[in-house]
Amino acid sequence: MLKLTFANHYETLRDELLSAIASGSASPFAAEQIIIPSVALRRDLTLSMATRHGVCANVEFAYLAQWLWRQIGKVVPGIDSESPFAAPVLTWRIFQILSDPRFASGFPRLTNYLKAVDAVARLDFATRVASLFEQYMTYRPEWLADWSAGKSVSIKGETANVAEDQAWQAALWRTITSQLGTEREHPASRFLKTVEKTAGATDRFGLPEAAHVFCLPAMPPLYIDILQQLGRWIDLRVYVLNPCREFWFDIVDRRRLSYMDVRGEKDYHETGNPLLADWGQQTKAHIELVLERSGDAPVDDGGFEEQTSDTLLARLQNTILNLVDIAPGSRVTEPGDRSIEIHVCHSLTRELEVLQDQLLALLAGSNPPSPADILVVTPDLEAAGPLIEAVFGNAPPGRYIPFTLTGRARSTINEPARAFLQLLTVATSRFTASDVFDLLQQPILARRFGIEADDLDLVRDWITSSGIRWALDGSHREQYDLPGVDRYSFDDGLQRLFLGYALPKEASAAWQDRVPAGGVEGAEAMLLGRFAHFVDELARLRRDTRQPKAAEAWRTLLFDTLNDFLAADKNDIDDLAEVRDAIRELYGNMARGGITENLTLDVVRTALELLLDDPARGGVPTGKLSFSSISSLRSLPFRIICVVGLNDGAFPSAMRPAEFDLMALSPRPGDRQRRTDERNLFLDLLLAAREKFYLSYTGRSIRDNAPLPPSILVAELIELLVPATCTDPASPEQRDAARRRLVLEHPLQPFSARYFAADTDPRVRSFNAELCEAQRQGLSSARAAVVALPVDTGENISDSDDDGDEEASSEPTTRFFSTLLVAPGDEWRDVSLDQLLRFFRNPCRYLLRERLGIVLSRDDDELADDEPFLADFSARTALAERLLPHYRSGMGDDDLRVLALAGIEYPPGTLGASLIDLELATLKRFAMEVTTAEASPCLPPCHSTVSFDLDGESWRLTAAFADLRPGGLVRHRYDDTRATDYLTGWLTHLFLCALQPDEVALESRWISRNGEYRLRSCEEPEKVLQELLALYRRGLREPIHFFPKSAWKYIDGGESLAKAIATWKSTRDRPWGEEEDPAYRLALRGIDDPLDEDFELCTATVFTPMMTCIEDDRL
Amino acid sequence: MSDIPDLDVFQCNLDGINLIEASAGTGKTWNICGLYLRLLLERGLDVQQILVVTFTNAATAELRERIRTRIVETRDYLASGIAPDGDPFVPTLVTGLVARLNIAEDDMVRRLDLALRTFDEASIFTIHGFCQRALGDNPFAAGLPMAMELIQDDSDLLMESVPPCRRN
Repeated sequence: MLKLTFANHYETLRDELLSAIASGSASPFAAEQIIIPSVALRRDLTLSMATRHGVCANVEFAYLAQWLWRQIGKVVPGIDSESPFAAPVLTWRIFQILSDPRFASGFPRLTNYLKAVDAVARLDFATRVASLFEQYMTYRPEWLADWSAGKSVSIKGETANVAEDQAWQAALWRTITSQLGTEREHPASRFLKTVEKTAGATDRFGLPEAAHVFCLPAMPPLYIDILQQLGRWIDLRVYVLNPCREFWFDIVDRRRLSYMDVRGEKDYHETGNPLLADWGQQTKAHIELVLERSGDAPVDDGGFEEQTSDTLLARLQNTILNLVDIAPGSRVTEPGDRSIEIHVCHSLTRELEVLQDQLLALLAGSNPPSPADILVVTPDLEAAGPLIEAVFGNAPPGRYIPFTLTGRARSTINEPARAFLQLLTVATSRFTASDVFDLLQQPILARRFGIEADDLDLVRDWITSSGIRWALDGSHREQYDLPGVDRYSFDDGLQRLFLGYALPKEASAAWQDRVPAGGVEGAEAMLLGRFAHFVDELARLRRDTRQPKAAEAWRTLLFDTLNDFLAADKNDIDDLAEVRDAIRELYGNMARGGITENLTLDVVRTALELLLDDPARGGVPTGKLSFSSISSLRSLPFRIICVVGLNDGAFPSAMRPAEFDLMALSPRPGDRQRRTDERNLFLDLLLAAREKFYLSYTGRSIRDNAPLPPSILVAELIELLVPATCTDPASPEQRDAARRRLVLEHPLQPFSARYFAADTDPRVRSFNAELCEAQRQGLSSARAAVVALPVDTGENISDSDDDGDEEASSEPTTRFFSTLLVAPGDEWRDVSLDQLLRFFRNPCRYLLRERLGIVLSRDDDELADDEPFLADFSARTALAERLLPHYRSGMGDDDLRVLALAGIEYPPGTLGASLIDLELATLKRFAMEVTTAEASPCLPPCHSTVSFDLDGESWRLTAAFADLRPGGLVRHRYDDTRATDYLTGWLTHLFLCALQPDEVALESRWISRNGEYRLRSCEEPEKVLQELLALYRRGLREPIHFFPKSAWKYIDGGESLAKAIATWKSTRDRPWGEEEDPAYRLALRGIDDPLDEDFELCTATVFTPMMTCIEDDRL
Repeated sequence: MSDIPDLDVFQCNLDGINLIEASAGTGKTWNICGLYLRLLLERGLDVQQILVVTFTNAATAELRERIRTRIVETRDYLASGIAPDGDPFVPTLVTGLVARLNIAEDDMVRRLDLALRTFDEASIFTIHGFCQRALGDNPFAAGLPMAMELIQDDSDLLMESVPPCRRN
């Protein structure tokens, strides 16, 4: 017997169900059958049952399609308990059929498509065709029957393409059924016929005594027919959530009404409630069908309840329940009614921050909800996930709301699954250094190879220093139609690393055209071994997975790979089991889909990922604040429902039916349509909110504050509610006021004063205590105009650097150094030459580092994934560093060339060889010059201190020389002479002159790649040093305006400020101006023009005396 | 250039191919809104049937919003007789339509209502967006994978394909 129960509240239906089960007369040994639409409802019912009865036991939950198939199987002989037409299984059968070109040969459209795409795209295509066929099975069974009988069906507006699409789909269907050997007849129609024959029979076919179909938002007509027939034997109760107590099937959707209106067909249709008519089409069609097809089944519709409170939301829900129009001016809201609110922000992150504040306000208010009473949904949970974690996960304890994200794609949050899929991707890839290293950064994978997180830095250094860029070895490269060069591959790099361990450090010859790298010593060798083992295993995996394989072989291989590469710790065990289940299920689907073709790894990997991310896994309600996708917690009531990210185009989504979807071409009532589906989903959310319906969207451009439109659903809601909530809808002021009651605009920044000031809209408030404190300080310091904000960590600094765009604007920025630092004490007064050099090379960096402890670290360079294309600065330097000692020890040219070619600094091949030949000539000349200049032996080391008196303070300058020669000092650096080379040579020379060691000429030479300069003995070196030391002392208290490159240009160009500025400033063509140095940017923040008088003064102090004693034919 | 007539958006012919040339800030968007509304009201087209293509995402968003606002304004004007302050657009449009074609105001309200309710399907795109939509709607005919995603930056792919060009 079939019985219908209607109610407008989920809770009412649930109570009905629980009472029905409690009073059920069924045998205590028979499991209760409950058919549910989603895992979320299953979880909710389980918990409710357990709460009510103390335990939830002996209940079988099932989805409608599977459950019906099982019952049909009991009635009709010869049907498996699981449908071979279920989409996951059917996909593989279709994939298999389509892989035979003979099948498609008669259909040019299909043939062309299959020729154009690869196997992965073919799988995707098969997946879509399979789910289409699943739809045909339920919504157009008679088409399939016609196709089986060799007939075609007529489709509205049929073009040649549509005819062909029908032809190949019909042929595909016939092939499928003949392969399965099933009766041509649809199982459902056989069921219905069997039922006819056995009318009045008492045989129950082993069907259950009772079943409950609970809260399905839609049911295909065919299923309702089957349910109705099953009602003969089974005590079948169908619980339907019905938002409206009036019959409302003849309220026409306003959109259709508009169409009909235009055509003059409106006549006697009235619109009833506009929201219901607009958004409730799916529910309407569903209830209509249920009532129409279930014959004279008794209907229990006593469960309609009005909302008793008097909020806007409650009134809106009541208008829907009672099917009344929401006329303009009809629903004037009470002041302080915040039951429906729309928040407008500048980005999704801001939406979440605002949401957090608003939820905190609710939790702090009277009658606070528990976090479990709050649901937050968003159209794209995957995109929002990391932001939610960032905003809600990082809240300090005082503002932390327990929350959970439910129903996210497993392949992103299941760590073993993620690592495993990533591994399978790498196995078919080019093996770039960064991809392979990323694998090692997955703890579960690194653990298997005994590599700890602490080891990774070292491994990274090895990869860089041994020149590993991509490919396992030369033969791997040949597959990409490239020369089989080993260099820059993993194999080559590892050989070099092994050489680095095996050969003595000072080994001079190349061994088998390789020079050692890495300098691995002692226990590090163990790690090197593990790394090599890891690479070997990857290579083996690649070998094993290169050839297509049968499904069975893949199952074994995937399980083996899982064991060989992943080592779960106790937290991962469940997740790992999920991956194993997925592999097992995948194989099951393939086997039942009758796959015989050999599959490539790409196909298997894609299929595994799809299986893991199956949306049917869905989200479940938890005891915390739940974030979920819009659909997964459908129908469940919450006190507060928030929808964030309702941007234009994000929801309803712009999904369209597949090109070859014949159903979409001739729609019928009861068909699932994504558009109506999503509108109905939104209506369901509105109805499921018991106290507050909170919406937010990005309604302002984050770049220029331009207004952005919301989702059309939000726009419709606003347009409906604004006139409805003002007393005089014709008055623009009233409408504006009503709009402001509903729509709240938020400032761009969370630290805006609007959030904290006492005289602003109390609905827009922040709970962020730190920002409040910062605002308070900012306000008080603005009044007192005092010191800069205390900045003591590197983090704050990088924060301000992130907003590069904003900094570029002409807004005045706060000075970083607004006062002098405390004068350096006695402990600063012993200065070494080295300190002095470091200071003058970058006074700001020295100041930040030594006085404030701020070290501006540079990001690690990313691992390079391609061979070098040119010899850049670092390559030239590295090659010179490696070869110069050999030059100077007198190695022959040929040997040197071999050694040079055996390195990894230069590009491979002819290009690299010719670049190296050029470089070797320069290197040789440089080496000879240096050797000649350093021909005489060094004198014994000497060490000395010079004392100075700076304004009564005693300062000491110390230096040591180990390379003095009778002819003076010789220094060299393999590079063109740079400003810092002049600076370094000059300061060292000054010290030499001040020291005046015995038997040493007071002269210096600085040899560079592009020439040399000499310094003659200078006048009064102590006086110059004293001035420099004074600059040093000042530079320890504030940034002095000395910038070596710009200063040198200034001096070199004849005291030309224009040249200094050209070096200092960045331009679009020359973005690396000296001002870009992070230390300068920070220390000079708020200073408009650092190239001022102080710059000229400092430059003159440092460099002008040098010009009297320098000899350089390049100047 | 004197042989090129000035555009009168409320009177011009809606057929054929027309090139409208104008400097920045002279009201191109304003005129497109006019043409759009005339197509909705005079020709009775649905929003899905009118394609508007422009360059950037920002321009597209602005155009969508402007056209939608115009539809709302026109509908409100027809319903209540209140025109937005100081903008002759709506009254001129409506008077023109009533005078020339004698379209009933009720019909116009209905058409505009329909346009608003289906505005999420309006075909207002960037050039890329339109092409993406065209390909996305017809992957089967185009021989493309069913699921596609737009890459904003293809320089990595270019870099990856460079090495074959510099083989020995």
